[in-house]
Amino acid sequence: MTELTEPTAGSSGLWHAALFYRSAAQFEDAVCRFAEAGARAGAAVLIACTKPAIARLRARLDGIGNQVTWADIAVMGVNPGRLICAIAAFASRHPGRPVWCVQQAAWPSRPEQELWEVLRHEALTNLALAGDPVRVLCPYHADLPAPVISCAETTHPVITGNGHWQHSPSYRDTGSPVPPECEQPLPPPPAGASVLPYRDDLGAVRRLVARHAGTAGLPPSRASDLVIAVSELTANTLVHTSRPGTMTVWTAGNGLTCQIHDTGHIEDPLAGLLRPGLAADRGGRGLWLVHQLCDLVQVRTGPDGTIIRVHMRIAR
Amino acid sequence: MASLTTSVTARDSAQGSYTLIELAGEADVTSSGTLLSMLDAATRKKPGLLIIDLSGLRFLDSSALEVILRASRALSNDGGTLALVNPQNTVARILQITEADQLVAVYASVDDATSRS
Repeated sequence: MTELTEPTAGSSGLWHAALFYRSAAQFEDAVCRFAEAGARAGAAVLIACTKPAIARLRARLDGIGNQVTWADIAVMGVNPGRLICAIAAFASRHPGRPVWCVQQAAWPSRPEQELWEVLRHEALTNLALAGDPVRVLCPYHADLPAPVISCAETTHPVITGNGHWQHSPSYRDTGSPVPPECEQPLPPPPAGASVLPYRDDLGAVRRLVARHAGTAGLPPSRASDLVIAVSELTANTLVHTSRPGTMTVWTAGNGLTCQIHDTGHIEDPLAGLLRPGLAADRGGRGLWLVHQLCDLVQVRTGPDGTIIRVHMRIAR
Repeated sequence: MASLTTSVTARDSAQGSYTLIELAGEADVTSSGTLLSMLDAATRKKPGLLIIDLSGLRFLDSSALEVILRASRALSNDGGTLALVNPQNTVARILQITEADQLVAVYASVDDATSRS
């Protein structure tokens, strides 16, 4: 196995590494070394971690703390499908500079269905940011479920655990950009979910979603966000397929879920993950909007059709 | 079809004449064709100021928004200006999240738009 040196600003293209850690001290040491090396290299440094981790890191990065942009990963990464465009937006605010980013999207208490969307995002990062002068360090606690750790090894070209950077022996850079573990079928909607077939009556879809959002106790602004998202998804059915779709909505656990099922096939795995041009003449905004508006987006697509689930958390 | 109602009138203000378009109901992909032909017809007359009053509009999706942004580009190519007026909750939200409100001026009222555009 080749041992790598600290990444340097001289190397070009994406550098994407997983940090496997067992203790807070190990996490902080590695993140601080990375941030300090980034600052020495003249990079724009973004640290997106949990709030407690930010508090500890700020105290330790006394000297360069004011050169670092800090972000609460629970906000920035609530939907992992927003992270690629968040990093791209950070890079565009620092033109001409390399970008070094710590992204703790797989925080230890994160529910497993969300962790799989984090790993999909990790895999697609390799595709979306391939040629960019961006370093991304992704901390994974060793106590996360074993399949999650193993998938993190296959989606990060570089790994570290003991202070040394190594090429990940199990990194997959061929075939499908999304690991099969991230494509597991979604569990069926619960019995009792509301089901509405639709074609061009998108107003009826919006009214049903608004009614469920109100009943579930979603605040009005979040209810609007969900109505916008579902309207965009059902509009895509109308524009991109020739058959009706089915919208299903239900409340479960800590949130409200809407599922849009149609006969379309989304062939671009990066669809919706990159910000469409502001003045873009046509299309491309719908799925990107859905990712910005919803707390979690799960896409399962293939030649037989597409299922998209969007979740909104409800604070209790 | 979503229920979208539109009206177009030529108006005068102390600052000069302008075209006022009032939208009411819901504008989505099923009505964006109607919106497109109406805005095309209005922009072809090259008004110096075109105001779209959104106060009666309950919903605007990205395809209808694109039609509006396209009209804005067509107008500015001819030296004119598009102004949006009084977007309500959901409509204001989509203007904000897409940053369309940074491409097109948004005013609280038609009077505001005529005096400040």
